[in-house]
Amino acid sequence: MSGERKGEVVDRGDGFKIRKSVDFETGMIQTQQEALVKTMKRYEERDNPLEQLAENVVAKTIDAFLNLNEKIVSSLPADTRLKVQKAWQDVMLAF
Amino acid sequence: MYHIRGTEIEKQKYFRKTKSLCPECLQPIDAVVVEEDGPVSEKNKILMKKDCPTHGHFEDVISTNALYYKWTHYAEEGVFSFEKDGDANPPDNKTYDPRGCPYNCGLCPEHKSTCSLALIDITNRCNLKCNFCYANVEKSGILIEPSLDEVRKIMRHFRSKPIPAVAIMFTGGEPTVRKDFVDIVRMAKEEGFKEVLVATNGYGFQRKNGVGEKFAKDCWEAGLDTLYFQFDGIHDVTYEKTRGQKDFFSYKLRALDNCRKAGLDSIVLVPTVAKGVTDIEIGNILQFAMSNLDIIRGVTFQPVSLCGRVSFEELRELRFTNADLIREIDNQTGGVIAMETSWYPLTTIVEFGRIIAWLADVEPIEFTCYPDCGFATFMVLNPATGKMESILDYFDAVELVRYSNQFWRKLQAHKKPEFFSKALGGMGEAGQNVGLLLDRGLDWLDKNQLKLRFVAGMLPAIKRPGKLMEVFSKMLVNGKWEAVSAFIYGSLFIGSMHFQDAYNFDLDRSKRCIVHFGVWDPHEKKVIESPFCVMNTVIRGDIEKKVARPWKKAVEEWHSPEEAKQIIAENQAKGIPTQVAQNGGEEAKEQ
Repeated sequence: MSGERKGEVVDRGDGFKIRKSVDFETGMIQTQQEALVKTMKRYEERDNPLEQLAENVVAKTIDAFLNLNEKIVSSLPADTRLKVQKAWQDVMLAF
Repeated sequence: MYHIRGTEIEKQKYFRKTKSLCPECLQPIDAVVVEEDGPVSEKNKILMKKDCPTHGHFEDVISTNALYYKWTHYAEEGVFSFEKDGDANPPDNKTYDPRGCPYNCGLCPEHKSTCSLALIDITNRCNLKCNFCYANVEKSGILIEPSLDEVRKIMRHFRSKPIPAVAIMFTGGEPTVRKDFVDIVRMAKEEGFKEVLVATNGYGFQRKNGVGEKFAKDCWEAGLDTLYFQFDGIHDVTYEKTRGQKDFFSYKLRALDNCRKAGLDSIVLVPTVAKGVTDIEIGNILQFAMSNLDIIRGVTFQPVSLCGRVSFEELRELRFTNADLIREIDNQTGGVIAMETSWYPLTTIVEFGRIIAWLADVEPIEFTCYPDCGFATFMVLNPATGKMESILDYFDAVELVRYSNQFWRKLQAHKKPEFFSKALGGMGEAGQNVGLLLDRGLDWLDKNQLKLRFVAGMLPAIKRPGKLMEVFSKMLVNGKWEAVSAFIYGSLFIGSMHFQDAYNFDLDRSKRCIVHFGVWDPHEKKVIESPFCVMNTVIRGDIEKKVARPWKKAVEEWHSPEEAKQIIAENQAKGIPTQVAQNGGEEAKEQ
């Protein structure tokens, strides 16, 4: 169990250490990814393989779409971007 | 960023009328919530002012940042608001008290939200004696411990509502002192609760010699999802102040380590934050959470609520508001979790959650509490940089709220397809069945096109793609509880829940409460359902007298006839024996 890691800490001398900054580079990438993988696995085990496949296809499609969207949107001037986005949402809300 | 900066709203003084309570006699009185005198400034305080005809004038600080407060109360009709009414269940209480809410509680027709988190106090016995606790057998001299049958009745009350509670938390006292705790967890899953939590100081889990680990494993297998784990800091001296316990940090570490070994890997740290006592531990607690992300899913800070009577000066000294908390988090994280850019009220995701639940045909969990009740943020790992980042680096939350609100309004008016049922309805039973089947197919297609519309329309609210968005889109497509749970496992939730006391009690808040206690009333033969702060501020005393159990009978149940006789004889004159109050007598041997 690790209670102490990096980050700026001031020892007050009365038994307390006050943290002035939290270390957000915690070196926990592997641990957190392991936790995520474990949980996703647990959740997928309960689920229907066809649904999993559909989810994966949709997730990959959305990811590709987001990447494309980012490239297109970032190339537009700000006011044009707002107009395009508003029009896009209006279309999506037209049901 | 508060998007009301530079607008007329920023320049206006905040003012709202509400109802509160007199802290002396607990009678309902009028109150105003106002910005303090002087020129408009974000540094102004928001105050609650009220006058009791008998006990005089009272003032309390509601927020120490006027701009943050005004922002959380700002609304654009139909497009944007943090104040949201829930789809409340029909009222339970048929009696009428002329004083009105909260004295008609149980619940009355004035309540505006359904219960999202059901609470059951399964005991008021506890191995600790914290001086600020509202529920302690030794302090009250009354033993409260519903039987298994009564616990089941309370669970069924919450699950049988038209909008059933999805999550349940066992509270106390210390719930794990009950020998049948694992059976109670199992019962909650049997009754259909999706998420089962326990508010614990870690007692059952910290026991040595494999006992705590086995207990954690038994709980996990029975269906316990999450520990709502009392955690005030990383210094022993902190626990001496808050819990009156020495060398207590190792107790906490032992409990967490046993959970880790047992595979119980969903723990939310719950620090009680008091000014000058635990506020200096905020950064330490967040660092501890970041360093133990394999089992810790979140931190819910709880600014202390003030039970009992305090002077005006003491009130000013002790009060710690949500704004104080997010300012302190900003200070102690070196500005990474910034006051102005990282936080949103819990109500932010109401429509978003409703849409996901509607599209997936599952029960929604609704956070339609008042904006003052709590706020939250998520930190997520960016695998490319190895840094934990705010989820708001990925989303524009204001845009997300606007779009979700508009989408939800459209969905509410959207009807299920009935084309084939109508067309084939006149062709007898066989025709009707075929029509229904074909309409189900149409409904499936319709829901999927709506899912795509929802995701596609959200694009302007998404700041950047990445692994997080992939997990997020799976959640959107699936919508099931497990998918939401998987999203939470990939991040760290940080939030606050500021419970009320008689000094800052605000009926606008209580009427929207989503965290409800259930208590079995053996005299009326029914469950009394009450919002958390109403229970603890107004009605707990009366209810506890009604449901108290004779401690001698409990001793006879928990011990052999000879032991029980001896314990009762030794404590006849003293009242509830310490060994009974703290753990039932036997568990102490295992510590």
